[in-house]
Amino acid sequence: MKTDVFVIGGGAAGLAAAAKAAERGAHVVLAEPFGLGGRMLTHIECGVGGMTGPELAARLVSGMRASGRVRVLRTAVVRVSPDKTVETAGGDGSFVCTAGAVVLACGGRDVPLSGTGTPFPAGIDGIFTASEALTAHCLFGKRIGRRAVVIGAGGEGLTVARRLALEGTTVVGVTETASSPRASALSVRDCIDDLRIPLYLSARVLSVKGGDRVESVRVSSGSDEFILRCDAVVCAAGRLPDCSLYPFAEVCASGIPAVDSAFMTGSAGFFIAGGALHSCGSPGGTSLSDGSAAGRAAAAYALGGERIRASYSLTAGKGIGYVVPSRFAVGSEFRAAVRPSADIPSGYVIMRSPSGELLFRSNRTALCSGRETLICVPSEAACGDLIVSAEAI
Amino acid sequence: MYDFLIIGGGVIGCALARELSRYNATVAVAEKENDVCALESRVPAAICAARSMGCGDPVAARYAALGEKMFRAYAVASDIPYIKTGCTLRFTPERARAVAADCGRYGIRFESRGACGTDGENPEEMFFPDAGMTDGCDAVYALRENAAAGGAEFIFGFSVSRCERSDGSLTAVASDGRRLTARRVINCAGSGGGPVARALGDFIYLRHAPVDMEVVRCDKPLGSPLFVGRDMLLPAENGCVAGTVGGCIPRSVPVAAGCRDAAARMAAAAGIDCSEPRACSVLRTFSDSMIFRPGNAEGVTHVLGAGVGGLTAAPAVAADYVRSAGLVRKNGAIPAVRRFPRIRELSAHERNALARMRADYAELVCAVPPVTFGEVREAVARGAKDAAGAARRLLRAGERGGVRFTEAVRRAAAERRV
Repeated sequence: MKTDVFVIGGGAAGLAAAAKAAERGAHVVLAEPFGLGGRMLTHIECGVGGMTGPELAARLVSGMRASGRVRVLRTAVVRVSPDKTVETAGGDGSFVCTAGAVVLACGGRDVPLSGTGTPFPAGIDGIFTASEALTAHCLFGKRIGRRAVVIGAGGEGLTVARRLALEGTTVVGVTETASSPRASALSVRDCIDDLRIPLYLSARVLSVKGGDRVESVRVSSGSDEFILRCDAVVCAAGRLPDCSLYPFAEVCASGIPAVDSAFMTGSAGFFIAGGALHSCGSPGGTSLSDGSAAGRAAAAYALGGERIRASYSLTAGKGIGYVVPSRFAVGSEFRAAVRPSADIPSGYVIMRSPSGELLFRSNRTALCSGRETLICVPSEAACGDLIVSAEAI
Repeated sequence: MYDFLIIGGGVIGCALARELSRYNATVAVAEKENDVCALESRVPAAICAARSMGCGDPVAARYAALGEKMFRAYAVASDIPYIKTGCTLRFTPERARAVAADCGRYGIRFESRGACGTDGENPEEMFFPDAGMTDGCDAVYALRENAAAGGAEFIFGFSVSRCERSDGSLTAVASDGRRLTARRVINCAGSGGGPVARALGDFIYLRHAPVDMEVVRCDKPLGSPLFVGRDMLLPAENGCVAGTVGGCIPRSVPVAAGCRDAAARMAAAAGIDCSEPRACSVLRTFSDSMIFRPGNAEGVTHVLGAGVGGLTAAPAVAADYVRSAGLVRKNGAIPAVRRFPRIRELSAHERNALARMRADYAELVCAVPPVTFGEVREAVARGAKDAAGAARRLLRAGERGGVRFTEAVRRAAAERRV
């Protein structure tokens, strides 16, 4: 099988990439093993035009189908080779497809339970990661428990807490190790204040105890220690980018794959967009625009061999965890996603040249280490290597 | 009454069961958990005899050397995945000298790569070209299936609490009252070996010693596993580790996910509180190995602490035991159980052919890595009792599989019950 653009993953980024690439005239094959829409299907609130996640997903799917050039395969991708051959398995069948450009939009993975720093005993039922809890609860209609504790008050944790609380599970508490919730104020208001879910800040989970099923969670907060009785624990520790399908792609020191402003990796013709690249926040936001840009660039690459000469680098400096993209083309404006490494209630994102000259300063914003801040870098600033840093006022 | 009762369904237990099942003897394996190699992590395991060298333990070193040499043929016979990759280890200078001496004595080739100074210490690096890599869990599952095909019985949920002796036989009594009688009993219960030994009437106490180690991220591709540390193995993300009983669990993160689970379970089994987050400093070091130590009661043998690499020594230990027991080989062909196909290891053509034959090999239950319902059914048929067991058979280290996978396991298990 041959195609112009092969999109891996049918979530927000994948659907947007497929739609955009088809709009630009490319033939697109999209491989999605489960439901088209990905995480949008489990999130009611998406923050895009007031639509719920499933509505947004349906709209994207119909937009994609309308172009008539997208073939959707219900299958999982096993392997991507450096010569742009994609091998799939299961579902509709095992195909070997040669593509002109490949877009990886498979989404990120939850931080595994053992990597969160909370000691979860093995062999106990009732411990879920955030996606598992949401999938079970929303897509399969299974109640994960009667009383749940959510560990982690980022966007994902608060979404889970809200959804569970709205639909019949008592959320006994949301714990967070930082001293403030790492989600936007809107989320906190919607989830915690409106539903009056107890929020424990600066709280560390010491132990999770239970027999066959989890029974209680011991939390220490400051000098207090208390026990929360529950029968389900949801660990919402964040998501990690996942480019394991591109073993040849270079990865930055921060763990984020290195891409340029068109979302192309160092290997020509291989694009990554959305949750697979960086932590996108609630689905349907950054991942949509990432996917569109990647789809447009992939179509341009596959059809016309158009190449962006991304020769300048964007590196993370003081106060920044990672920055996406890591390379950009001279003289073109681009959008950078910046993840601060510490909370700064009121600060600027500053871009300097390697010699220290100030080239760009963003507006004053609240910087939170729990989510990314999006910066539009104008073309005047994009004139050389840039080092990004975050400074308080 | 059985001829042999093996207590412990780990690496040594399953290897012994597989050997014994090829001879005219009835074998039973009693395992405390609900599945074999329940304390094994899913990370790749190294078959490297050098890890048991230079510790002043000649018995363990000898079996490890023999086992490493036998392993390739052993793997082919039981359909265990195995690649000969070579192995690089770093030792403190004193240990390096002892390792070099032992390797000469037991015939293990090595190349000395000189000192590689890192932060104050000056470890010596040595390369062992004959070492290889396998999948610890897959190996034990293959051994278990082959043993079962040869007639060995596996009894799960059997935790030995005491032992009764009568003339010519011993009866192991479980905490729930079940009884298993055999002429000879072999204790290879690994981390649980101490209590079992005491139940059998021998005062054996395994020494638990925490060991200080550092974790270094391994940048080399999986061609040659790189183990760093003060003469112990460490897991590293791209590297390889043996997270078995008697293996090492490191102190700090990042840690291969499967290893931390294994560490927690080993700690629980040993009664050590492993509640300090991010630091599972549990390591079982045996004061000396007890390979074929006879017990006080007649017919009892202890095989514990087969060096740092139990899997490496397993073929040699099993072959030796069978030889010393003086048994007669069974007549006729013994069925060899092959590893069942994982669709992600097949070619596209083979996958399509398989899906045409059986529709459940087309139904995806997990996308990363791709796993189908047919594989889940097969895993459950071959002994997976719960989602964790199926995950150990089908997924990579530390992966859970997600909701669809867990549901599929539940569905497959329910089908078997009906």
